[in-house]
Amino acid sequence: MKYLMQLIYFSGVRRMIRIIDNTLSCLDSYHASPHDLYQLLESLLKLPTTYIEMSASVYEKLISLKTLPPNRKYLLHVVSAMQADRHPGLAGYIMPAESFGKMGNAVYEINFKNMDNFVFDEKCVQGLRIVGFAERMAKEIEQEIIDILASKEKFEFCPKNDYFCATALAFEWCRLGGQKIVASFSGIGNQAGLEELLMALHLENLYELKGDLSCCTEIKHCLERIVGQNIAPNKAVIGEAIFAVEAGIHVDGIVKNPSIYEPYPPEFVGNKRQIVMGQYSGRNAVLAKMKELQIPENGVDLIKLVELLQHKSLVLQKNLTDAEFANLVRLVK
Amino acid sequence: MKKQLYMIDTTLRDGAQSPGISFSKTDKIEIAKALEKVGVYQLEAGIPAMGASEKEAILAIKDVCKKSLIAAWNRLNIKDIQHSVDCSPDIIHISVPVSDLQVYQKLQKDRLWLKKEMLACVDYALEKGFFVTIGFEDASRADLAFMIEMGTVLQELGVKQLRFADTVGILTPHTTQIKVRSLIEYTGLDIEFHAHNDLGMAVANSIAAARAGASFIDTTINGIGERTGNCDFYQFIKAAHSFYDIMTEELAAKEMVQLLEINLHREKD
Repeated sequence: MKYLMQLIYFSGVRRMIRIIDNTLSCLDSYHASPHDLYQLLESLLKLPTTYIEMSASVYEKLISLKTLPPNRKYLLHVVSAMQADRHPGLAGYIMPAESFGKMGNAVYEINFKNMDNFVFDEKCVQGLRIVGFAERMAKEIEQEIIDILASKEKFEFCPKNDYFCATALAFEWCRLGGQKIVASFSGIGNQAGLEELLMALHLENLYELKGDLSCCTEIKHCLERIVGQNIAPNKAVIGEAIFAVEAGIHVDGIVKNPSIYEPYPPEFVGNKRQIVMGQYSGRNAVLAKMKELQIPENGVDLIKLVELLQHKSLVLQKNLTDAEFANLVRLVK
Repeated sequence: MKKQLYMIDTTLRDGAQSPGISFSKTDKIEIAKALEKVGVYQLEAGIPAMGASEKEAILAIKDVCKKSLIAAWNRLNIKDIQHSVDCSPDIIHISVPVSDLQVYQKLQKDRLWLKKEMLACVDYALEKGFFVTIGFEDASRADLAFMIEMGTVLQELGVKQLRFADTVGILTPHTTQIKVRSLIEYTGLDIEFHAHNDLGMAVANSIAAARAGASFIDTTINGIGERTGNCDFYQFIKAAHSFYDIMTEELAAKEMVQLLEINLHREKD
């Protein structure tokens, strides 16, 4: 009973969450052009985040082109007070705080209000950032977060992904009342995936998206340009192939009602459903594909077609293209 | 004392369903052998109802694997189970869609029908002398009280292992813990947790399930599977091995994953 009450209490109450997108702090090793960076910035601004954080190097490249788009809060990630001195007028300055020591494997960074004063006191500091906690998922993470938040310090959290739990850690922080959370698009920089976090918060009704996440496609292409590598096709939320479906059981369900097998509609994230022909395609999948390709049903021996399809994809060791499938249909007419 | 976790691999079933993945019989045997070598407890070898070549592969896997338990996956109908019987698997796994969305819209039936059909299928498989495990499909969106009711029925029949499938990948660690813990507490069944990675939380949710008392964790090599895939075997071992007594070693897992890279390249269209 206690567990059921917990479930009711903790869900569906919109939280005061401020998301810091620090994608632009994670790109220094890629030597991106100012133009590519500016394009990425403009597309990142379409996401419902509160702050965009960038490294000093990225900031300098961007402003060499033009001033940053207004009506947004920008944070600068610096390594020294001197670096911050060069760029006044931003919403905050994030600086590593080695002298603070470590909290287990986590390190601290400080979010300073301005670059006039780097003294660690109430007036100058607007946040203390915990960076790490990668390994904490298997421990009493809920209680740890509750204890940290109960201390009333202005904590920010930037979970790391060494153990593949960064997004979950970020979500737990928000769920338990954490107000400032740091994530990057696609989790670049070994962090929580911004798009994963946004989707989870949206599905749990904890955060207002003000639209959908279809801009993710554009952001993904900008980032792939800079990084010089495509994002994995099965990456959560933004993977190109995550709505490709082959197995007959799943296709059957999707044809009846997509939400039977889809956690969120493909269009919501700027993607499209694809029915793929292969070893596991059954009768209904084949029919759905024929309908999609506008191939008439009549005169087609469906049983034979499914058999041939299974055999062909086994022999070829791959899925069939639309053209290959159309050819197969001709054989069984 | 670290709690023991048993790894269940579904590369050859859920993983195989992944568009772009096409395993030959040789591939399947090689994968099964490697998984057994690393100490995986149970291998979901395939779906016998799919046809002769699938059955052939399963029989061949049974031939080479002497330590890992070989399981055959079935939909909720006697015909599927009859096909499985032909393969003499160590385990007959029956998938029971359990959310109202699945029952009423996909199957176009009702809860009462579901319960009767589940009883009939379980009875049939048990009578044939097989070890039966049940999978609650779309459990993450199912009514908890209904799952407890169905779970209790299973427990009374002597079924011991229940798969909790987050079929659409929408769970978070907290919701995972609550649901898994409730099921364990109210049914006494051993829970097998089956994650999908739609929110990038497959590993985290699997860990949460283990913390909530689940003894079995479903994974695939390289996390292949429907949509964003299942919980990645190597990632899970890396994240959890210091906290649990898992029957495989991190290093062995890494070695095996590298060995299987060649078989698992995703198709580029």
